[in-house]
Amino acid sequence: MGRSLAVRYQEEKVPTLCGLAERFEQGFCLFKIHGSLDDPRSCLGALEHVGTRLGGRRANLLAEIVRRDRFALSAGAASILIFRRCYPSCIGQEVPLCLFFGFTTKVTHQALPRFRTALIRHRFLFGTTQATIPSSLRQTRFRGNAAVDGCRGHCQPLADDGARGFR
Amino acid sequence: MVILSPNISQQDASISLASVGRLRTFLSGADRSLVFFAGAGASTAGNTGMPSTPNLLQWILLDALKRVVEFEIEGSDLAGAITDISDSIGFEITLNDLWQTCREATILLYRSLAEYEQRCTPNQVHSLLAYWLTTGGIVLTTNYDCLIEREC
Repeated sequence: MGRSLAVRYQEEKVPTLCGLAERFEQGFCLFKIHGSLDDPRSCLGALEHVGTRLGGRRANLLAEIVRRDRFALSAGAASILIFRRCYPSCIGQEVPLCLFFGFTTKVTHQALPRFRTALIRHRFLFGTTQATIPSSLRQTRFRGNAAVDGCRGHCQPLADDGARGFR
Repeated sequence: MVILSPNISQQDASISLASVGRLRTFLSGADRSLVFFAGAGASTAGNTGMPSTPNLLQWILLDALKRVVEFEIEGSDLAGAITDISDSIGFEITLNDLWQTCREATILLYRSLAEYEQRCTPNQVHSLLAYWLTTGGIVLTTNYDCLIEREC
Protein backbone atom coordinates (compact mmCIF):
# COMPACT_ATOMS: atom_id res chain seq x y z
CA MET A 1 0.00 0.00 0.00
CA GLY A 2 3.02 2.19 -0.14
CA ARG A 3 2.83 3.58 3.36
CA SER A 4 5.73 3.76 5.74
CA LEU A 5 5.46 1.86 8.97
CA ALA A 6 5.35 3.82 12.20
CA VAL A 7 7.11 2.18 15.11
CA ARG A 8 6.22 3.95 18.31
CA TYR A 9 7.85 3.44 21.66
CA GLN A 10 9.18 6.76 22.78
CA GLU A 11 6.11 7.88 24.68
CA GLU A 12 7.22 7.44 28.24
CA LYS A 13 4.24 8.90 30.04
CA VAL A 14 1.04 7.01 29.65
CA PRO A 15 -1.30 10.03 29.28
CA THR A 16 0.56 11.08 26.16
CA LEU A 17 -0.55 7.85 24.62
CA CYS A 18 -3.90 9.49 24.00
CA GLY A 19 -2.07 11.28 21.26
CA LEU A 20 -1.72 7.99 19.51
CA ALA A 21 -5.37 7.94 18.57
CA GLU A 22 -4.81 9.73 15.33
CA ARG A 23 -1.82 7.55 14.59
CA PHE A 24 -3.87 4.45 15.19
CA GLU A 25 -6.68 5.67 13.01
CA GLN A 26 -4.22 5.85 10.18
CA GLY A 27 -3.03 2.29 10.68
CA PHE A 28 0.42 1.11 9.65
CA CYS A 29 1.47 1.35 13.28
CA LEU A 30 3.49 -0.92 15.53
CA PHE A 31 3.36 0.22 19.12
CA LYS A 32 5.93 -1.29 21.45
CA ILE A 33 4.64 -0.81 24.93
CA HIS A 34 7.83 -1.76 26.72
CA GLY A 35 10.19 0.06 24.43
CA SER A 36 12.45 -1.32 21.76
CA LEU A 37 15.91 -2.76 21.58
CA ASP A 38 16.44 -0.35 18.70
CA ASP A 39 16.95 2.14 21.47
CA PRO A 40 17.78 0.34 24.71
CA ARG A 41 17.10 3.46 26.74
CA SER A 42 13.50 3.39 25.61
CA CYS A 43 13.13 0.19 27.60
CA LEU A 44 14.06 2.10 30.73
CA GLY A 45 11.09 4.35 30.26
CA ALA A 46 8.90 1.32 30.25
CA LEU A 47 10.52 0.12 33.44
CA GLU A 48 9.90 3.45 35.05
CA HIS A 49 6.25 3.45 34.21
CA VAL A 50 5.63 -0.22 34.46
CA GLY A 51 7.98 -1.61 37.02
CA THR A 52 7.91 0.97 39.74
CA ARG A 53 4.22 0.67 40.30
CA LEU A 54 4.00 -3.03 40.45
CA GLY A 55 2.88 -4.35 43.77
CA GLY A 56 1.46 -7.61 44.89
CA ARG A 57 0.73 -10.23 42.35
CA ARG A 58 0.78 -8.84 38.89
CA ALA A 59 -2.36 -10.58 37.80
CA ASN A 60 -4.32 -8.95 40.57
CA LEU A 61 -2.81 -5.61 39.74
CA LEU A 62 -3.79 -5.88 36.11
CA ALA A 63 -7.31 -6.88 37.01
CA GLU A 64 -7.55 -3.98 39.43
CA ILE A 65 -6.34 -1.54 36.81
CA VAL A 66 -8.97 -2.70 34.40
CA ARG A 67 -11.67 -2.64 37.06
CA ARG A 68 -10.95 0.92 38.09
CA ASP A 69 -10.41 2.08 34.54
CA ARG A 70 -7.21 3.78 35.49
CA PHE A 71 -4.47 4.39 33.06
CA ALA A 72 -2.54 1.23 33.13
CA LEU A 73 1.14 0.93 33.65
CA SER A 74 1.45 -2.72 32.91
CA ALA A 75 1.76 -4.25 29.56
CA GLY A 76 -1.50 -6.01 28.92
CA ALA A 77 -3.69 -3.58 30.73
CA ALA A 78 -1.92 -0.68 29.09
CA SER A 79 -2.69 -2.18 25.72
CA ILE A 80 -6.33 -2.44 26.49
CA LEU A 81 -6.65 1.03 27.91
CA ILE A 82 -4.67 2.58 25.10
CA PHE A 83 -7.04 0.89 22.78
CA ARG A 84 -10.06 2.13 24.64
CA ARG A 85 -8.76 5.66 24.77
CA CYS A 86 -7.99 5.61 21.11
CA TYR A 87 -11.31 4.22 20.08
CA PRO A 88 -13.74 5.85 22.52
CA SER A 89 -16.52 5.87 20.00
CA CYS A 90 -16.29 2.13 19.71
CA ILE A 91 -17.05 1.40 23.34
CA GLY A 92 -20.51 -0.05 23.54
CA GLN A 93 -20.41 -1.16 19.96
CA GLU A 94 -19.23 -4.38 18.53
CA VAL A 95 -16.45 -2.83 16.56
CA PRO A 96 -12.99 -3.50 17.93
CA LEU A 97 -11.64 -6.95 17.87
CA CYS A 98 -8.63 -7.72 19.99
CA LEU A 99 -6.54 -10.76 19.47
CA PHE A 100 -4.06 -11.69 22.15
CA PHE A 101 -1.40 -14.17 21.46
CA GLY A 102 2.04 -15.05 22.54
CA PHE A 103 1.49 -14.20 26.17
CA THR A 104 3.02 -17.24 27.74
CA THR A 105 3.92 -16.23 31.24
CA LYS A 106 2.12 -17.83 34.09
CA VAL A 107 1.06 -14.50 35.47
CA THR A 108 -0.55 -13.47 32.24
CA HIS A 109 -2.43 -16.70 32.21
CA GLN A 110 -3.81 -15.82 35.58
CA ALA A 111 -4.85 -12.42 34.37
CA LEU A 112 -6.44 -13.44 31.12
CA PRO A 113 -9.78 -14.62 32.46
CA ARG A 114 -10.24 -11.31 34.23
CA PHE A 115 -9.15 -9.40 31.16
CA ARG A 116 -11.60 -11.32 29.14
CA THR A 117 -14.41 -10.43 31.49
CA ALA A 118 -13.46 -6.77 31.52
CA LEU A 119 -13.11 -6.61 27.79
CA ILE A 120 -16.38 -8.21 27.04
CA ARG A 121 -18.12 -6.09 29.63
CA HIS A 122 -17.05 -3.15 27.54
CA ARG A 123 -18.18 -5.04 24.50
CA PHE A 124 -14.77 -5.61 23.10
CA LEU A 125 -14.52 -8.80 21.21
CA PHE A 126 -11.88 -11.01 22.61
CA GLY A 127 -9.76 -13.70 21.16
CA THR A 128 -6.62 -15.44 22.10
CA THR A 129 -4.59 -18.30 20.81
CA GLN A 130 -5.15 -21.52 22.62
CA ALA A 131 -1.47 -22.13 23.01
CA THR A 132 -1.27 -19.31 25.49
CA ILE A 133 -3.95 -20.68 27.74
CA PRO A 134 -3.33 -23.57 30.08
CA SER A 135 -5.68 -26.46 29.65
CA SER A 136 -7.08 -25.95 33.11
CA LEU A 137 -8.46 -22.61 32.00
CA ARG A 138 -9.76 -23.96 28.74
CA GLN A 139 -11.78 -26.56 30.55
CA THR A 140 -13.26 -24.24 33.10
CA ARG A 141 -13.45 -20.56 32.48
CA PHE A 142 -13.01 -20.75 28.76
CA ARG A 143 -14.99 -23.89 28.09
CA GLY A 144 -12.98 -24.77 25.09
CA ASN A 145 -13.24 -21.34 23.56
CA ALA A 146 -9.67 -20.41 24.20
CA ALA A 147 -8.77 -20.53 20.58
CA VAL A 148 -9.36 -17.44 18.53
CA ASP A 149 -13.02 -17.02 18.89
CA GLY A 150 -13.74 -13.35 18.61
CA CYS A 151 -16.05 -12.70 15.74
CA ARG A 152 -18.52 -10.00 14.97
CA GLY A 153 -21.97 -10.91 16.04
CA HIS A 154 -20.77 -13.39 18.61
CA CYS A 155 -20.27 -10.99 21.46
CA GLN A 156 -22.60 -11.32 24.41
CA PRO A 157 -22.33 -9.49 27.71
CA LEU A 158 -20.71 -11.71 30.25
CA ALA A 159 -21.98 -12.75 33.60
CA ASP A 160 -19.60 -11.89 36.39
CA ASP A 161 -18.30 -15.40 36.62
CA GLY A 162 -16.91 -15.13 33.13
CA ALA A 163 -18.20 -18.54 32.27
CA ARG A 164 -20.39 -17.39 29.43
CA GLY A 165 -19.20 -15.56 26.42
CA PHE A 166 -18.51 -16.48 22.89
CA ARG A 167 -20.41 -19.34 21.50
CA MET B 1 -3.97 -25.05 4.08
CA VAL B 2 -3.88 -25.08 7.84
CA ILE B 3 -1.18 -27.05 9.60
CA LEU B 4 -1.82 -27.75 13.25
CA SER B 5 0.48 -29.17 15.84
CA PRO B 6 0.19 -32.96 16.07
CA ASN B 7 0.33 -32.64 19.83
CA ILE B 8 -3.01 -30.95 20.37
CA SER B 9 -6.18 -32.81 21.14
CA GLN B 10 -8.90 -33.48 18.61
CA GLN B 11 -11.17 -31.01 20.35
CA ASP B 12 -8.51 -28.31 20.25
CA ALA B 13 -7.81 -29.08 16.63
CA SER B 14 -11.48 -28.69 15.80
CA ILE B 15 -11.67 -25.38 17.64
CA SER B 16 -8.51 -24.16 16.00
CA LEU B 17 -9.72 -24.98 12.51
CA ALA B 18 -13.00 -23.17 13.13
CA SER B 19 -11.12 -20.22 14.53
CA VAL B 20 -8.72 -20.07 11.64
CA GLY B 21 -11.70 -20.03 9.32
CA ARG B 22 -13.15 -17.06 11.13
CA LEU B 23 -9.83 -15.30 11.23
CA ARG B 24 -9.31 -15.80 7.53
CA THR B 25 -12.14 -13.43 6.72
CA PHE B 26 -10.43 -10.73 8.73
CA LEU B 27 -7.01 -11.40 7.35
CA SER B 28 -7.90 -11.71 3.70
CA GLY B 29 -10.21 -8.72 3.45
CA ALA B 30 -9.47 -5.03 3.44
CA ASP B 31 -10.86 -4.53 6.94
CA ARG B 32 -8.08 -3.69 9.38
CA SER B 33 -10.13 -3.37 12.56
CA LEU B 34 -8.44 -6.42 14.01
CA VAL B 35 -5.73 -5.38 16.45
CA PHE B 36 -3.01 -7.83 17.33
CA PHE B 37 -1.50 -7.86 20.80
CA ALA B 38 1.70 -9.85 20.70
CA GLY B 39 3.44 -11.15 23.79
CA ALA B 40 6.70 -12.91 24.48
CA GLY B 41 5.53 -16.23 23.12
CA ALA B 42 5.27 -14.71 19.67
CA SER B 43 9.01 -14.18 19.67
CA THR B 44 10.13 -17.38 21.33
CA ALA B 45 8.07 -19.79 19.25
CA GLY B 46 9.55 -21.52 16.25
CA ASN B 47 13.22 -21.64 17.21
CA THR B 48 13.86 -17.96 16.74
CA GLY B 49 16.65 -18.11 19.26
CA MET B 50 15.06 -15.50 21.49
CA PRO B 51 15.20 -16.50 25.13
CA SER B 52 12.00 -16.55 27.13
CA THR B 53 11.96 -14.12 30.01
CA PRO B 54 11.87 -16.85 32.68
CA ASN B 55 14.97 -18.40 31.15
CA LEU B 56 16.65 -15.04 30.86
CA LEU B 57 15.88 -14.27 34.45
CA GLN B 58 17.28 -17.61 35.51
CA TRP B 59 20.50 -16.91 33.65
CA ILE B 60 20.81 -13.51 35.27
CA LEU B 61 20.20 -14.90 38.75
CA LEU B 62 22.54 -17.80 38.18
CA ASP B 63 25.29 -15.56 36.92
CA ALA B 64 24.85 -13.20 39.83
CA LEU B 65 25.03 -16.11 42.24
CA LYS B 66 28.18 -17.49 40.66
CA ARG B 67 29.87 -14.18 41.15
CA VAL B 68 29.41 -14.24 44.90
CA VAL B 69 29.64 -17.90 45.79
CA GLU B 70 31.34 -20.93 44.34
CA PHE B 71 29.10 -23.84 43.63
CA GLU B 72 28.44 -26.54 41.13
CA ILE B 73 25.05 -26.21 39.56
CA GLU B 74 25.05 -29.86 38.57
CA GLY B 75 23.63 -32.03 41.27
CA SER B 76 22.71 -29.14 43.52
CA ASP B 77 19.31 -27.92 44.57
CA LEU B 78 20.13 -24.46 43.41
CA ALA B 79 18.84 -24.90 39.88
CA GLY B 80 15.38 -25.73 41.15
CA ALA B 81 15.52 -22.97 43.70
CA ILE B 82 16.48 -20.42 41.09
CA THR B 83 13.66 -21.58 38.88
CA ASP B 84 11.23 -21.14 41.74
CA ILE B 85 12.60 -17.71 42.51
CA SER B 86 12.39 -16.69 38.88
CA ASP B 87 8.78 -17.76 38.72
CA SER B 88 7.96 -15.92 41.90
CA ILE B 89 9.49 -12.52 41.38
CA GLY B 90 9.02 -12.01 37.66
CA PHE B 91 11.17 -10.43 35.01
CA GLU B 92 9.97 -6.83 35.12
CA ILE B 93 10.25 -6.64 38.88
CA THR B 94 13.79 -7.96 38.74
CA LEU B 95 14.72 -5.50 36.02
CA ASN B 96 13.16 -2.74 37.99
CA ASP B 97 15.20 -3.69 41.05
CA LEU B 98 18.29 -3.65 38.89
CA TRP B 99 17.34 -0.27 37.56
CA GLN B 100 16.78 1.16 41.02
CA THR B 101 20.20 0.04 42.19
CA CYS B 102 22.36 0.26 39.09
CA ARG B 103 20.91 1.95 36.07
CA GLU B 104 23.97 1.65 33.91
CA ALA B 105 23.94 -2.09 34.41
CA THR B 106 20.36 -2.22 33.23
CA ILE B 107 21.20 -0.27 30.11
CA LEU B 108 24.07 -2.66 29.49
CA LEU B 109 21.69 -5.55 29.86
CA TYR B 110 19.36 -4.14 27.24
CA ARG B 111 22.27 -3.46 24.93
CA SER B 112 23.41 -7.04 25.36
CA LEU B 113 19.93 -8.18 24.50
CA ALA B 114 20.00 -6.01 21.39
CA GLU B 115 23.27 -7.63 20.32
CA TYR B 116 21.89 -11.05 21.05
CA GLU B 117 18.81 -10.34 19.00
CA GLN B 118 20.94 -9.88 15.91
CA ARG B 119 21.60 -13.61 15.99
CA CYS B 120 17.90 -14.46 16.18
CA THR B 121 15.61 -15.09 13.26
CA PRO B 122 11.98 -14.04 12.80
CA ASN B 123 9.32 -16.72 12.66
CA GLN B 124 6.01 -17.00 10.83
CA VAL B 125 4.23 -14.98 13.47
CA HIS B 126 6.55 -12.07 12.79
CA SER B 127 5.93 -12.48 9.08
CA LEU B 128 2.18 -12.38 9.62
CA LEU B 129 2.39 -9.31 11.81
CA ALA B 130 4.68 -7.61 9.33
CA TYR B 131 2.16 -8.31 6.60
CA TRP B 132 -0.60 -6.91 8.77
CA LEU B 133 1.34 -3.75 9.53
CA THR B 134 2.46 -3.07 6.01
CA THR B 135 -1.08 -3.43 4.73
CA GLY B 136 -2.51 -0.89 7.16
CA GLY B 137 -3.00 -2.83 10.37
CA ILE B 138 -2.10 -2.10 13.96
CA VAL B 139 -0.01 -4.27 16.25
CA LEU B 140 0.71 -3.66 19.90
CA THR B 141 3.43 -5.65 21.55
CA THR B 142 5.17 -5.94 24.86
CA ASN B 143 8.23 -7.40 23.17
CA TYR B 144 11.47 -5.46 23.07
CA ASP B 145 12.87 -7.25 20.09
CA CYS B 146 12.75 -5.95 16.54
CA LEU B 147 11.90 -9.20 14.81
CA ILE B 148 8.62 -7.84 13.45
CA GLU B 149 10.33 -4.80 11.99
CA ARG B 150 12.95 -6.99 10.39
CA GLU B 151 10.20 -8.73 8.43
CA CYS B 152 8.66 -5.49 7.21
